[in-house]
Amino acid sequence: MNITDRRRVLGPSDAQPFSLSNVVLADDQNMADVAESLSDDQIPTKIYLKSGVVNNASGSAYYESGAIKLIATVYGPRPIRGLFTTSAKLSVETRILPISVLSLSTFSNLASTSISTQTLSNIVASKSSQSSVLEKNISSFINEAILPSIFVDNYPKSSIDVSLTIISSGKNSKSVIAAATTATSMALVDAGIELKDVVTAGSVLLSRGNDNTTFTMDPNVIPQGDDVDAVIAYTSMIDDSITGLWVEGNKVDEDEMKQLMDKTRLMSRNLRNIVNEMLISEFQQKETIARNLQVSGSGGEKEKKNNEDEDDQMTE
Amino acid sequence: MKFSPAEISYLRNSLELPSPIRPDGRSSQQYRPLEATTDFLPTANGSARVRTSDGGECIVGVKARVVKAASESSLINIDVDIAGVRDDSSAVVLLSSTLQTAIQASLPENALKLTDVYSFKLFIDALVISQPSNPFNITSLATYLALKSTRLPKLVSATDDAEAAEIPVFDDDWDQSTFLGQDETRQKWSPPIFTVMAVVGNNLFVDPSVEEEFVSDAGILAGWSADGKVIAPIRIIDLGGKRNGGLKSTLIYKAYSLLQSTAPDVIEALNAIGDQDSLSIF
Amino acid sequence: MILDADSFLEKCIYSPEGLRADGRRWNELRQFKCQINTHANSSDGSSYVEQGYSKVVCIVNGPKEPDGRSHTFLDKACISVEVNIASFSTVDRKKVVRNNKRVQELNTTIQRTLEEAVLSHLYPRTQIDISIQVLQQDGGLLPTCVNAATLALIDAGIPMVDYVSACSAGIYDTTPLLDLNTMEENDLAFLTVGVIGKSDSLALLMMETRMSMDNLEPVMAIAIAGSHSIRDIMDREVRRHGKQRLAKKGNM
Repeated sequence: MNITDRRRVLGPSDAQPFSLSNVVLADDQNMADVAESLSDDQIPTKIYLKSGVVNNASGSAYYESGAIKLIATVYGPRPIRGLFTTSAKLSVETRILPISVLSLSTFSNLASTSISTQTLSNIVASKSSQSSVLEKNISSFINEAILPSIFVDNYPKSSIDVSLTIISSGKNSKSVIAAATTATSMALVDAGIELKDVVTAGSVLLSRGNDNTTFTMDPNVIPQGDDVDAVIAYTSMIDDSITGLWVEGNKVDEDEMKQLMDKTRLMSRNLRNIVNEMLISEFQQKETIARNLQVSGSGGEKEKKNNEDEDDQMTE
Repeated sequence: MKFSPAEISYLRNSLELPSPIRPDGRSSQQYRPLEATTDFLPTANGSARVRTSDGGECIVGVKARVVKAASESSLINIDVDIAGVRDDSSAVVLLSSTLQTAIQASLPENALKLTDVYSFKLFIDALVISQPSNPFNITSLATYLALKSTRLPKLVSATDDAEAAEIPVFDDDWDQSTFLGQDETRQKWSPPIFTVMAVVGNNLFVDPSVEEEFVSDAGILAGWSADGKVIAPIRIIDLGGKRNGGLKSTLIYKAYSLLQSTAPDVIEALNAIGDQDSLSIF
Repeated sequence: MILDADSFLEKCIYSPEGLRADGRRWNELRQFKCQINTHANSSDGSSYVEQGYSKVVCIVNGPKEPDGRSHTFLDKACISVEVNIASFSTVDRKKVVRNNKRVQELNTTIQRTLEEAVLSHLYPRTQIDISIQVLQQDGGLLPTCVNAATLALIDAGIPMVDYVSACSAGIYDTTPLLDLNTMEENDLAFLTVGVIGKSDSLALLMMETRMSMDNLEPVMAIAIAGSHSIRDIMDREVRRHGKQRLAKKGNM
């Protein structure tokens, strides 16, 4: 009846778990940066986006905006074993690095109060399970938001695997999810997978003050009390249809929902403009390289020299 | 389940109509008939079982334990076990985390508090025995009924133990117990209910069957509180249908009006079940 | 007055007047309630069994296409048993992990017991899934599961030699006690038998405690007698259900 673990050497019962509370404090400096990156209409303007950052993946994208730093990598389409399927299967796996604030946000209230070691170890255990719940929830959101944009029928009996690494983040999980959705879509474009359109997402926090409701897009503000936290993903510029939606909070009435949708739509539109610009410029770059290669193939000393220059640049 | 192209196109076309026809003849805001029993497990503080006509079945048991409030990160623990599905699969995590956040937010603040140090911790365990369609609906209904039937014993020791630590002592008489979340006026607390709506074209359907899920564009998950207000988490979820594109934003508003017309009937029907007494589930 | 805890407990188990803690005599079963065809919409066969405060639901699906090579036998059906113990089934909530060794052992024990009675050679290259949900436990987990599985298999129409009925029995001093509850199981040496039909042939004999050789015979005898009465109760339920079905058919 008794099932105790006798195979492993367990630590002493009064062991003190390693505390990372100082990391939380260190990250408070980032708040200033984020505030700077927010323009008047509260949409982060400073975004660094780059695709093709991971060499051995089919496609990848790096996204950085304020405190948020994440990498999305796409592997596939690759064959699956087992039963025949008529369309591709998308699977998303998320990992929040332990150093990111998101996985520590439940820690923040511990820095000031002194709590017994037993309590702390309880909280550490529950924290890690909470963060894995968040990872699962992020994965399923991205899966649901991205899937409608892929021509899955063009890839029978194959799977497209997305792996998402959240390196650093603000305290607000929804803003990370919005960024992750965009990055994943970019990585899919980079992988050359046939898409209907890119998916971009916006996140917003609605807080009900006295009489007036305010909206924040600051990735470091976490919902308190009756606040509503939302992330909504959109695709296709023409009719802005919603592919992913996750609203959390308590009661949300129709008007508030409308406002949430308006704000996020605006955000994702702006983001889409940035993404589109980036895609076009990247494409043009590729095209120039290809044209140069073609020209150099047909002969001509001058072009050859140009091409060599280009090669040098690339190796640099 | 597999369907032939003819079946799919019939289902899709009849559900896409301006006045849609559901395969089982329900209206779009109608649940399938269900059978429910509450309070049939004497070893649990509250329990409920819900069965639907297509064979879906969920049993929920609620147990309370006395804990030191300061050492717990959460006083509510929800555990969902779906037969044939791994415990860490995304469906299970979505179900348990959605119910957990919503119940935590709606439970009155001091409902579980005993003394300054001690408090009850609720363990809600849902067991989905069979689930032909999405398990969200039955699990949420069964959880609602189980929480409604949950009773906590009456505390007979002192409530103030800030100075002198005292282990709580309870009244042995179960008739003295109070319902979970019951206030001074003996008004019962009502937990939130969550439902999945299937989207087909411009139409929305409450409590979709397997066939409807298969031809759906997506599912919208949302909940409502006892007073019929829509509550979050609101999410778009995958029901296993073909996702051809996004949803128009008007569909989200449609979901609001659909929920508001369904909610009162469902609450009324469930409360009627909860008021009946039963000792055995069969 | 301070009671000696040990002697107090022992008195509770079997009083000099010949009564057990729950008021039964030494040879009495707990209330045995059963029902078949409880999950007609979701399974091929189903049953619900209550043995005292132990409550179990059993669902049978099959014979069906096997899940894979490892579940395919060329000469007989593969019977796979999965017991799921609900966390709220005990007085103190306890989460039982699905791949717990104890549960796996229970699965194999039930599977081997049923293989003795099921005519599995009639269904080669198929699989019969038996899923058992334990809703409440108060002793006699194994016998309750076996009884529920038998009923569900009968409901599924799977041919069997006869009923397999199981019952536990223990020994208190020199008195054998029939059908133990949790409290008695914790304190006494006991065994569980599974009997095929009204015979004396055993499909299951399980003993995890130590018992003196002299006591073994009376304990086995009473456990077998208990199993026989359980078989009669189950048989009555199956016949009741059969009549009900026939009556419905006659009306049509």
